[in-house]
Amino acid sequence: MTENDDLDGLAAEYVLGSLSLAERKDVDARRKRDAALDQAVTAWERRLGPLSAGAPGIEPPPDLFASIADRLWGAGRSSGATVIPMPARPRSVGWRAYGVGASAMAACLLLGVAWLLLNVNVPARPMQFVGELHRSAGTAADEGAAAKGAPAFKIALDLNTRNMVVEPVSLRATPRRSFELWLLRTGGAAPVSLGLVSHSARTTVPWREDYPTSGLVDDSLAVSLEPEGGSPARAPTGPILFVGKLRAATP
Amino acid sequence: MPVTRDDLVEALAAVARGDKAAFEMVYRATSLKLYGIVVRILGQRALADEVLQEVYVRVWQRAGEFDPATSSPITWLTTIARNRALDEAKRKTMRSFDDHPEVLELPSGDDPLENHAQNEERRRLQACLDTLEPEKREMVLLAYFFGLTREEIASHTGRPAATVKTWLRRSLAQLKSCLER
Repeated sequence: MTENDDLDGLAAEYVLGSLSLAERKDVDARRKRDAALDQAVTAWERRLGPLSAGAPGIEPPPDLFASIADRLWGAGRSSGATVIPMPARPRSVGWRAYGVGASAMAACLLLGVAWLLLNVNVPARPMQFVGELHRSAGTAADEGAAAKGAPAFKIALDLNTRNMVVEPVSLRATPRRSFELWLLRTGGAAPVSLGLVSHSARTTVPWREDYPTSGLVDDSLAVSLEPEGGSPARAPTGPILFVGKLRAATP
Repeated sequence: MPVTRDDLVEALAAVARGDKAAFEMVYRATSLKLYGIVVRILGQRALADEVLQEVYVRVWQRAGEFDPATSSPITWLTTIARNRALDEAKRKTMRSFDDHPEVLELPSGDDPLENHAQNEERRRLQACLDTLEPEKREMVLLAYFFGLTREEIASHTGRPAATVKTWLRRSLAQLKSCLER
């Protein structure tokens, strides 16, 4: 029984991704002669597979398919028939799917514009805001330098100078990842990327003309963990680490 | 009309017969998803580009091994992508995640690449994940989405690696029994 548990636990961790390279290689080799382990791995792939299906996608570089075709069939030696033309032919269903994405994006933009139009004439709009970002909920075992309840970032926005200052408070480095700051609008509008912020130094974010200037106290700010250089999509692709809200600064 | 699971099953069978147009269709329909998986695990786009190419080369070579009776096409493709990315990520010396990522919030909408039954499966998995304690759930998702090893999770959470292993295995066993309920 314990042995079976171990086998199933090993298969589960293999699929989960938590094994070291050596352990993975060991499982790869063992699977070939151990049918029970192989079946356990397949069962875990089925069990956890839906997680990947639900996670957000990222658009690969446009020329990647050409590179793959090149590797498989060689671009140079063909008569033209073997090379898949880029961009794709009109009958390619995938492009139609992308078309749907594009119009959904356009709809989001339109919503954003409509929202701005509705909010342009809010009287006596506050021009200065402050706020703090805290670790998002559900994180335990926080042994970090920041005391419990202390913010991870302090934020000050001045719409007169159109600058937002983002100041980290005792954060540590996360190699090969970037922190990206987002304005999450109420009402389901698309998130606005405010750019990358440093974990160690003050970052000044220019408040661009196309950024919203009203309704900000209703929105949320969030910092997500992204691949180096920031989210490859127009929304966070990694986990949200820190969240907070702006409030009007008392003059 | 978006590509469905049945379209993919058909296309993979055609790929196995050497149909290049079907291969491109598979790529167009699934590369967004697979690239997301690979980028999250590798954390670097240049490396992810290389790995994604290798993944689709394998898809071309192994399409004949796909069996719709035992696996959904997207699960099969996901498995190839994750295994390749995980092997590559773990070649590196230990990556340190000093911060404490909160788990991904997964979209609850239907995935057109899956049929109704599979979208239901995903909702059940999500519901079962939600029964885990937050810290354990986070460990599970850190490993799944970012491919962190026990040691990396340990340095990230401040828990000993042995504890991480115990918690991961218990959590996975709990998930399994929840899913079988």
